[in-house]
Amino acid sequence: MFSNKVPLSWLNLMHNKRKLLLSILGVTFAVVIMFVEVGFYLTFFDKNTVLITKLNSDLIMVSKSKLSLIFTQRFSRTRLYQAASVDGVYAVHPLYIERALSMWKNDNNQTRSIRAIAFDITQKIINIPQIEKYKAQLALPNTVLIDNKSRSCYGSKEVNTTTELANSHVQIVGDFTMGPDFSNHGNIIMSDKNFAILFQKNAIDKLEGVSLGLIQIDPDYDIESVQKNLQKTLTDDVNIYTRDEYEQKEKDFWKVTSPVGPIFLMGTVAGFLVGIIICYQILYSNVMSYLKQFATVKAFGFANRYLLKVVLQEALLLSIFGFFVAFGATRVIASIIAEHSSINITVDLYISTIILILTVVMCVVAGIMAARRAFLADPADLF
Amino acid sequence: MLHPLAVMNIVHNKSRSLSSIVGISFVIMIIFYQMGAYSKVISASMQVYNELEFDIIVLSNDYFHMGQSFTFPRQRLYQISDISGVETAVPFYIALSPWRNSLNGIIRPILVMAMPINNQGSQVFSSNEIRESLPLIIQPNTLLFDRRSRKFYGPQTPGTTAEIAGNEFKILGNYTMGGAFISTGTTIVSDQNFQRIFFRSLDNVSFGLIRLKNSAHADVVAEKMRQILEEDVLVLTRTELEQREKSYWATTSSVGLLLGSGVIVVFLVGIVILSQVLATQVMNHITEYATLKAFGYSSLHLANIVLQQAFAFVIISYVIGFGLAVGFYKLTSMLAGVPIGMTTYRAIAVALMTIFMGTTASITSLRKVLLADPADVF
Repeated sequence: MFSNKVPLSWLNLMHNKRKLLLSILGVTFAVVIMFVEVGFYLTFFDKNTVLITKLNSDLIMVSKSKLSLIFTQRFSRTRLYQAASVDGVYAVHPLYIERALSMWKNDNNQTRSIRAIAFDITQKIINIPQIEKYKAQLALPNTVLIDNKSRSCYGSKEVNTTTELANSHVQIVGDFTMGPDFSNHGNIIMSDKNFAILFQKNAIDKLEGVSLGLIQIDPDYDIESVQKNLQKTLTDDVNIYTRDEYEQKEKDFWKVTSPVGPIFLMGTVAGFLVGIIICYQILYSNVMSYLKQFATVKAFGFANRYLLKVVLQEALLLSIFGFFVAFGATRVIASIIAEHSSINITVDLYISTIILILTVVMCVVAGIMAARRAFLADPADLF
Repeated sequence: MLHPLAVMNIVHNKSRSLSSIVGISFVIMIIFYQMGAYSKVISASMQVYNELEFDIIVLSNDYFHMGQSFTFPRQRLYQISDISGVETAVPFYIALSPWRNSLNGIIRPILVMAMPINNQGSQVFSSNEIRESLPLIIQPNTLLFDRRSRKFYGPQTPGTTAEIAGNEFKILGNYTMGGAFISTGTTIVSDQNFQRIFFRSLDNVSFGLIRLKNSAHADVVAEKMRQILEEDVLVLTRTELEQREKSYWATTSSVGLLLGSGVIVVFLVGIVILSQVLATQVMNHITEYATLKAFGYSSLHLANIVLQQAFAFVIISYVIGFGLAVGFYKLTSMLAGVPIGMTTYRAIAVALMTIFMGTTASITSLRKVLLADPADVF
């Protein structure tokens, strides 16, 4: 694309360095707005999926009627055993979550619902190092690990505190870090045996209803083909997701459910629109300052297509310069915001790719609009 | 009024002026939008409370904000009912519960509100529409449904059914409220139905709504309550609640912080873009300005023209930006189900910001004009 004998677009931009700097600044600011808005929008929902990201599994089995982690719908443990017999499945582990019955008594003798997460603690099911450390203590009856970022409503989170959970005595034997989300103020981890004792006192078939089924795949097998196979083999009361898919599904649920989702989405749209306008401004003013030169080029017999190419090349160069400066600026802004609040705006590869695409689209659209002015350049007006 | 030269400069190259105006208009629009969203998040925090009749509210001492309010023992309300000045002390219950759309089976969380209802209904809500239909929902498994709930909850017409936490409920009436940023929908049930849905004892109260006799002073009675009551509750007058709720949404919640910093970012960006656009406009005519200087026009005279030109741009752009913002508010209100509208206060605030930006930008370009040397022109 840049194989012209005379790199006109490059020379146009470089001719006036001060102007170029200003133009890049203009594009940069538009891109920063988008970065910040998209960053806000996408990271806003992150805390709801911390548990999912910590699961040590390739595939996750969920009841078909469980629309989100916050809902209780469970599926039969039998499904998980059926899955274990499918080719390529290395191991299956049930994970249990209870929120409604999990009432935690705080220092004021008030009970507060806390999310209880339970599984076979002898297995590496969740990537939380403290579980390995407190394995022996967790094997004892009525013991829990508490999330040290749980809100203050639960009272003391000190190790060795004894309190009541679901009307039984429990002891805190250690802590881990997860953090509250939109619907949970805190978390505790316990063994599946304790879970059965605490929450399923009267159940005949204890631990039968599974909240999440964790499926580990033999490394020799392809995860997606095993996933297809499982979905085909099992009755359709369960869904099988890869971990990334399930994480995305949970975020999508909150994007629709959270009343603030559309606010950030519209912010991004506004940023994009402003970006197009600014970019158009810059390119238009660039075309105008070289209008005589464009007309001359036309007089030499070059077609409008050539002019379009030049303007689009300028647009692309601007978008790339602007993107990289904005990338750096956003990281600085993100670190300032992180310093003054608890908000972390991640500027990761995923978000950066989205923004790079948006930036290029923005500049190209603006370039096409601006090039139309160059088409009107009339050699006859020149002299 | 305007100097003819300023007008001529703007009109001379219509398409270039137009593109500058559109650029500035969009910047003004995005400032309007960010401010609107930010102030809506703060003002919406009182949306549900504004529908409730109370002078003093009793809350759990763990109370965070309306969406995370926790409960306290009902006993506390009995303890304060004989304090002089207290007219009534009514328990109010809220919970977020899964609501199943009867048409497609999709489940979404909804804000459920409940209070004791007798044959006369209840005086808890200020809306007449709610008061009149409250006696209807004494029956088991019946509810009133908020018209402002998002469409994904399903049909709203009285007579249709929906499921709350696995129980089938019949919609008997509607009201208009909106769950603001707490929930995408709301519904009202009787305390008896509430107890049955959640297996939750009515002894755990979310809010205690206290109404005072006309002669009583809220601050005095609230202070008396604080002395009597245990540490497990929070006693707030209406004004105190409003301050607390707003400051939570503005400074503690991530939504408020995100949108607040959005306003700052957009404002800074706005200044830079505006300065650049205006500077380009002025610089386009720099040779003419230098020529005028050579003719003997004073710098003051030229500065006047530049300022007039800048402000003409800014004012036209403000009007267009204002229109764009109103359209954008409408679109967001439709998508978010939270009405965002233009307020006089915001219109003035953005106007002042625009004038400030215009001035900053003019000063930069002014310097160039004042330094323009006729000798350099040709």
